[in-house]
Amino acid sequence: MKKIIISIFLLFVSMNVFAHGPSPQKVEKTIKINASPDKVWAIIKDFGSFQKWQVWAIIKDFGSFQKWQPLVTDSKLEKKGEDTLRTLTLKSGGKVVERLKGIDEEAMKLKYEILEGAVPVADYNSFIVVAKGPSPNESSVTWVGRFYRVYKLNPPIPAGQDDETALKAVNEMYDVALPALKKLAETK
Amino acid sequence: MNFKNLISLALCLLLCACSTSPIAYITNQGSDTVSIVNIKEKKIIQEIPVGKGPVGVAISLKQSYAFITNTHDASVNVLDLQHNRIIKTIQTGGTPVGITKSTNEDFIYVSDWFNSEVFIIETKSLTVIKKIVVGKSPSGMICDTEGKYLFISNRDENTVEIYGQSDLALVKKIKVGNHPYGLFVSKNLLFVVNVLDDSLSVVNIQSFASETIKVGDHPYGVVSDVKNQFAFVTNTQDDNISVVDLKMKKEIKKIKVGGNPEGIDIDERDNILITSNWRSDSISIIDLAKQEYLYEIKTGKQSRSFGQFIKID
Repeated sequence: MKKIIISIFLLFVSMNVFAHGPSPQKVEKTIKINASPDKVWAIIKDFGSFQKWQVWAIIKDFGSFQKWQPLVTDSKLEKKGEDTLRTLTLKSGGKVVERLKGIDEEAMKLKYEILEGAVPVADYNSFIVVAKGPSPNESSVTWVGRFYRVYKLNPPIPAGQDDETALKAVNEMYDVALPALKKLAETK
Repeated sequence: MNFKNLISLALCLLLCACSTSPIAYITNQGSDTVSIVNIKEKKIIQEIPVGKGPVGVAISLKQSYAFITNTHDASVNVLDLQHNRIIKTIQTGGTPVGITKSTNEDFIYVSDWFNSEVFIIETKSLTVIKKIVVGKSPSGMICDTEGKYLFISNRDENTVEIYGQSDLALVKKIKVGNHPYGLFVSKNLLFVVNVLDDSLSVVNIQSFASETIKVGDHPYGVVSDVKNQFAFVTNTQDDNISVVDLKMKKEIKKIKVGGNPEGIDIDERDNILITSNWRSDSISIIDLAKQEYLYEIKTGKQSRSFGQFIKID
């Protein structure tokens, strides 16, 4: 019975992946890195090797604050027609499919979106940009996400599908990933 | 009054008229305020607290009010344009998003995103006098200049509905692209942006025939000039606007603006376009004739300004 309820819930979530509430949410974070912009950019634009520096931290509140394991264990890159997609496997077992929207070499800016998966957001669009620091061996990386909560119907909004949950999930992704990126870029 | 006085009075009036700056009313989702911005002086005159999660704006010069929709507390603020202060808060219920005035400015239409309804506010009594049931997730709304139609984009059913302004009866429902949002009307053309198709639908409001033109990533707002030579579309995920040549029926130029531009409005008297930029907490001013970026003015947080937000005296 529990399985059936979960399946219905998942079906419901996946059907509504593009519908959303009325107000977009924003997360924008910047980290300073002691490595050259070229080096940092080389890591970021390698769209298929996200797991090297990304550590997804998804903590889902499901009734009694059940914690999920916070690692991306695998990233598979594939071409679908003109689209470049990567499927991330979370240590928790969930998957996230993301599409590369563009790489701007001159601006050192990568754009991508989440197509579907275990992150509690809808219509998630993001970019990561590398800027030059005050010296040749310093950079700063800014990561910006614009997205909506999952729940699109009338309030009351169920726990786990509201703005706070969406914001928390994205904040955690960035908070864990950016220091990991810094570490990788500075020690590589 | 002698002739000399008359001349100086005329000159003075002329000078006053010329120096009147357009004023923009910018809704800030992130700070629950409206920034009232003097465009020529490039500064905020006043920052007014409104309801929670303000998004939509409509200006009635005839009534001398601006109306603000607040998505998070089910209300519409009435802002007095003379004194720049809130004189009334109308509790509409639901989730008010889109807002526009009727052509005669006797009514304000407000779309309720969740309940698929439109509230009708009478500007004389400033009360909701009626509700009508419309399509799913009504968002953008606009009225034609003739006073005949009210157009509504229904985001989750990919349609635009056309209602008669006099009787609020459904005249026609047409299919557009994927997730229609911002709307604009100029002469016989209706413009609708389709967020998930990265396209602009141009609909002839006599024949209801439509065409689709490719624009940028996640378009939200659209305006066109009075002659329908160009349409201008905000591409939220590209941080620019598309300039669409309506004769050639294609995008001919992109103009860089602030981060995540949403709302856009046009002021042909002052030869400008203004976009409100959600990510960079600012508005961008664009030279309409030259189609060139001019300058940016900082506003409150997460500026959206969904609707017609420039006051031109």
